[in-house]
Amino acid sequence: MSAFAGLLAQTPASGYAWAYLDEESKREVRRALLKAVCIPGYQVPFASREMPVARGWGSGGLQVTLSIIEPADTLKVIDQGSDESMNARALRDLIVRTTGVATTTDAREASIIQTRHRIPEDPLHEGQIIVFQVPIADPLRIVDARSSVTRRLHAERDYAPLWLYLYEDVATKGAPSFTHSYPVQVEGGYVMAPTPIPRHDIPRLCEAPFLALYGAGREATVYAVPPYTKVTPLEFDDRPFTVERFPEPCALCGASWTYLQEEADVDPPRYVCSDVAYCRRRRSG
Amino acid sequence: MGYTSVADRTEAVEAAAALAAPAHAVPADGVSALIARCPLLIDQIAAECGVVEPALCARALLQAQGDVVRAVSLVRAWAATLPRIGRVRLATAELRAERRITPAFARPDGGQYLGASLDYAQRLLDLSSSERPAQQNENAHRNGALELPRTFPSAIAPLSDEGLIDATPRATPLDVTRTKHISGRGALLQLLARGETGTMTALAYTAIRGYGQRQDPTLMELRSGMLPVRARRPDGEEFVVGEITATTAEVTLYRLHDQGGADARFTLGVGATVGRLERRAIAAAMLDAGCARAASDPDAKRRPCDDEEFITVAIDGQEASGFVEHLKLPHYVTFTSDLDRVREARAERAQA
Repeated sequence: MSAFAGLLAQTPASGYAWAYLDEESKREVRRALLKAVCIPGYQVPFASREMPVARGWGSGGLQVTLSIIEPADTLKVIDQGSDESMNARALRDLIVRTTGVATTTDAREASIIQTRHRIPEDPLHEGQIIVFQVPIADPLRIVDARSSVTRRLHAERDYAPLWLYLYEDVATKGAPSFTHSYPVQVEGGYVMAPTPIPRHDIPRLCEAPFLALYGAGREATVYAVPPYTKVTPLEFDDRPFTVERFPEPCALCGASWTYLQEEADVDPPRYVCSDVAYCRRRRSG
Repeated sequence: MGYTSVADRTEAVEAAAALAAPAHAVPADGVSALIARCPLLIDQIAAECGVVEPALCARALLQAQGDVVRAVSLVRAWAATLPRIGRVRLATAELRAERRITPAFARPDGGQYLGASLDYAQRLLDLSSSERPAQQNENAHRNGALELPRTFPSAIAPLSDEGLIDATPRATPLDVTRTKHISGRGALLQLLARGETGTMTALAYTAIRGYGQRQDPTLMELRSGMLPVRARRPDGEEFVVGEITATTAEVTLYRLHDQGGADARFTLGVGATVGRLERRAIAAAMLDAGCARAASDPDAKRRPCDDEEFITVAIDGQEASGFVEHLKLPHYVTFTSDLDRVREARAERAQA
C-alpha cells in the first residue's frame, strides 16, 4: 500500500481509497463475482454503490474493475471499440488516478479490458479479463419488464416466452428483430444478455480463453462467462444466426473481417474499423 | 390552536408564513448571484414556466425559498395575467449551436463539437475549502474558444433520404395556456416543452427500462446554443427580437417489430427545451417518439411511457404537485362520509 500512498498524494483523488471503493464494498463485489463465475450466465445481485459516474455510464463495469484490479495489472478501457472516446478516457482516468496501474491500448497486453459495446478484434488469451459495462442485464426484459417475473422464469429455466418472441419475429418479419444485445444461452443453461455487443462479437465469446465479467450498476447485478464456456445465440435450426455485414472492407487498413462503422464527414462516406487501436496497428505494420 | 380554525383566524396564515420566511434577509445581489451561480436551475424554472426571463425566475426561486415547483407557480400565475400581444417564431434549424453531438454517428457530416459539458467530468465531490477563483474559468473559456460553424446539416438527413425514417406527422403550434381542448401532437410537444423535468425523465426511463413497447431508442443528434426569436411587425416584416438559450434532441426508435406490416424503419421523436437542459430535451424526444410509435399501432396495449393521454396528465408539475399537496387541506367532511360507510358495512356484516 505504501508504495501507492505517495502516488495518491499527488493526485486530486487523495482522500479516496486505493481503487476508489472501500475494502468492504470490493469484498462484496468480489464475492458476487465468485458466485457469478461458479454459475455461468446467472445474474447475481449485489448492493451496487453510487459511483462518481452517472448510472448508465459504466458504474457497474467500474465497480467490477475496481474490485478486481491489482497494482501489477495493465488496463485497457474502450468505448465503441475506441480507447480515445470521451467516456473511455474518463473511466480510465478515474481508475488510473486511484490505482496508478499501467495502461495500454494493445488488447493483447492488457490484463483487464473494461469495455462498452465491443470485444477487441485481437484474439485474447488465457489470464485476460474482459469487463463489460451492462445497461440491461436481463435478456427477458423484452418479454416482461418486472424483475419479479423474470427472476422466476430464469429460476425455472423457462425461456419459452423468449423463444416465442423469436418465433413471432421470424414468422412475421422473416428474421429476428434482435440487433445488438442478441440473447445467448450459456452452456445450455441460463440465457444471458451478452451486453449490447454487435452480433459480430457473439461467436467470439464462445469457448473464449478469457474470463468475461459483466457489471450492471443501475440494475445491481453481476454475471460472468468463465473461460472455455459454450455461448450460443438463440436460433432455430432452419434459421441460422447471422452477423452484421458491410458493403466494403475497412477504408484504412483493408480488413474485411472486422466490425466497421460509417464515417459521413468525408466524401464519399467510408467504412472504418471500430477497433481503432487494432486498425492503427495494422497500418503501422 | 388546531389548524381547523385557520378559517376563523386569518392572522394565523400570516403568522405561519412569517415563521416559514428565511431567518436572514436575502442579500441585495441575490438575483444576479443566483443566475450566475446556478444557471441550469434558472434554465429549468424558465423551461417549466414557459417564461424565459432569468431575472424573474431567480426572483421567484428566492421568494419560494428554493422550492422549484412553487417558483414555477409564482411565475406562471404572474404570466397568466399578461395579455398575449403577438406571436414569435422560433425555427430550431436556426439554432446557433455551441455544442453538437451525434451519439448514433461517429463522424457525421459537419462534425461533432463537445462544447461546454460536464458529461465526462468525474462526479467527485469537491471538499476543498476554497472556492475556485473565477479567473481560472475565464482562462478555460479563452483556451476552449473555438469558432463553430454557423449551421450544421441534419445528422439524420441521409437516413431520411434513404427512406429509413418514418415521416413525422406535422404538429401545429398551440398555446396550451389559451386552449380549451388539449389534444394532438402540437399540444403534446407544447406540454413536453413545459413539463416537469423529473417526471419526463422518469417516464422516458421506464420506456428504456422495458415498460411499454419495445423501443430501443438511439439519440441521433443533440444541439444546444442560441436560438433567434423572430417577431413580425404590423407591416409584415420579420425581425429578430433577441436570442434565447435552447437545446434540441432527435431520438429514433428501432422498428422491425411493429404490428401492421409496415416496412422496417425508424420512428423519429423530437424534443426541444429552453436552456441547456439536455436531459430534458432527450426525455421529451423519447416520449414524443414513443407516442408516435404507439399511434402507428392503435390497438396495442399502452403503458404510461407511450400513452399520450397519460403523459399529458402526468407531466405538468403544477397540476401534479398541486393536487398531491392539496391533501394537506382539511378533509374531515369527506372523510366523515368514508368513515360512515366503513362503520355501516362492518355493522351490517356483524348482524348477518
